[in-house]
Amino acid sequence: MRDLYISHVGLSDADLKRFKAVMIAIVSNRDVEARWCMGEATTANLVLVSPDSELTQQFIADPTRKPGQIIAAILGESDSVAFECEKLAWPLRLPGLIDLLKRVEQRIGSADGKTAPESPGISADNKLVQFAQLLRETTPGHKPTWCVSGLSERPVYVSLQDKTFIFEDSLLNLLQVDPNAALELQPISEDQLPEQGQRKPIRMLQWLIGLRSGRMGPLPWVKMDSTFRLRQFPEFQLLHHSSEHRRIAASLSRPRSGIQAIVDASELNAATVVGFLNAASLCGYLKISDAGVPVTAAVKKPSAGSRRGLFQVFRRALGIASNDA
Amino acid sequence: MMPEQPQEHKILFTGTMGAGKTTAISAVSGIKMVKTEAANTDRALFNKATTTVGFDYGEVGLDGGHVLRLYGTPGQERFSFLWKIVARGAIGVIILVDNSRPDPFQDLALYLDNFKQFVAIGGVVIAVGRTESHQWPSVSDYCAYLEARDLMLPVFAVDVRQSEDVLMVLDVLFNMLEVSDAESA
Repeated sequence: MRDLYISHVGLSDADLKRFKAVMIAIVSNRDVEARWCMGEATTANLVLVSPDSELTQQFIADPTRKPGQIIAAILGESDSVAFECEKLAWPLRLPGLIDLLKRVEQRIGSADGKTAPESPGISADNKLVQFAQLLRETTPGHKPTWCVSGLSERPVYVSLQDKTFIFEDSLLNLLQVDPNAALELQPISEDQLPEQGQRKPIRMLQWLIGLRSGRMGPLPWVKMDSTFRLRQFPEFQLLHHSSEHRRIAASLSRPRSGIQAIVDASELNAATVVGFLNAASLCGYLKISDAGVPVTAAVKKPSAGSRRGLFQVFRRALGIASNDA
Repeated sequence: MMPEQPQEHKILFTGTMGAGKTTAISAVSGIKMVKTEAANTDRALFNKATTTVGFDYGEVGLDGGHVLRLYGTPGQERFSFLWKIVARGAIGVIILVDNSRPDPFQDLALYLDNFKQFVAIGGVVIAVGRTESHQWPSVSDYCAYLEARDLMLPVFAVDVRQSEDVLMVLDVLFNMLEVSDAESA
């Protein structure tokens, strides 16, 4: 399954809220073939815009936009648009957006994203990265409690001392966090935590934030050419995960030199691998070293003796979901 | 044209008495399990009314009439002579560890030593039960223990009464074996 990126420019608060709700429904119901994720506007495959916003005009004129990017304008009955784009009827509705995503998937074709990202990673200035850094904090001594706004409609309360968090909404919303979201990280005292909120293990939050940040690239401490190995398999019973994550975990039971080696060994999309590495690093499952560790050479194709086909038969018979064709 | 012979594949569930082998196989077997139980004469050591004296058996039907056979080894060490026999032709082993026992590391060591041919190819997953009531050792303690033995094997805290836990463990085993196949090419 390939990853495609969607973003937005110039939408009103109401339209943005509607857009996010529709995207969550599409992702949850798996109505489309590709895995659509929120991305940055200049690099996304598809960008939804409001035709009468000044931000839209600036964005259309931006020369740094991704070549071949598809723009879709959300138009009311009397609206018109002066630039070439796809059109979506206002207000945005689920069937309309599903049709658009499918058309875009066909137009974009079969880019498979099997090359590790060339960029050095996400900027340390990015608010989501700063939040990830906060979640990773392991220095001894008393650790503060935080209220984090902007990840979703409701705030997330994080108690680093207890290694728990409170979030009174669906955790899956955290997978759709806008990478451009203006997060606010505010230290609070323990007695400011909601009384009724259920405390969950912080690993669940670390994992989701790590997966989400994978769409943007490796976190600053996950270097492209480091050597990676798991020190512990992720607690799959607790964490939201896919069959691909189990495959990546198995490939990391041996040291792998560089992100590309993991992409090759697991035969999976680079963004999925990077998301796993980010998540595993935040949860403390991953050992990262810079050099000198003996590694297993990556194998690019399954061997003639591979039993993958046989194990797919086992999975089908046992009812274990798999992303393999 | 001669009909294709049904193929059989085998996965072992092993571990100490009371670790949950019978329960784990029951959770995923497509047929009513065959249990070979007798009255437990070691009640002072293990508070179970019955114990497995042969081996438990379950199976999963596959496409084309082929079969995945699930064997549970008898847990008591005096039946260990059976382990090698049952292990012949198996593709992998699930080691079930009971965290409520006095020395789970010693228990684990016994099975790692007796099934070392599977450890060598990464065909082992360790499933630790009763962690809700007995938090030590933790999963990370087991991982540290394995690292000290220069091993990296999947370890999970599971409830074998939950079929999704058992299926997850099996899927991880399949993934480990796929990696092993690719490395040995």
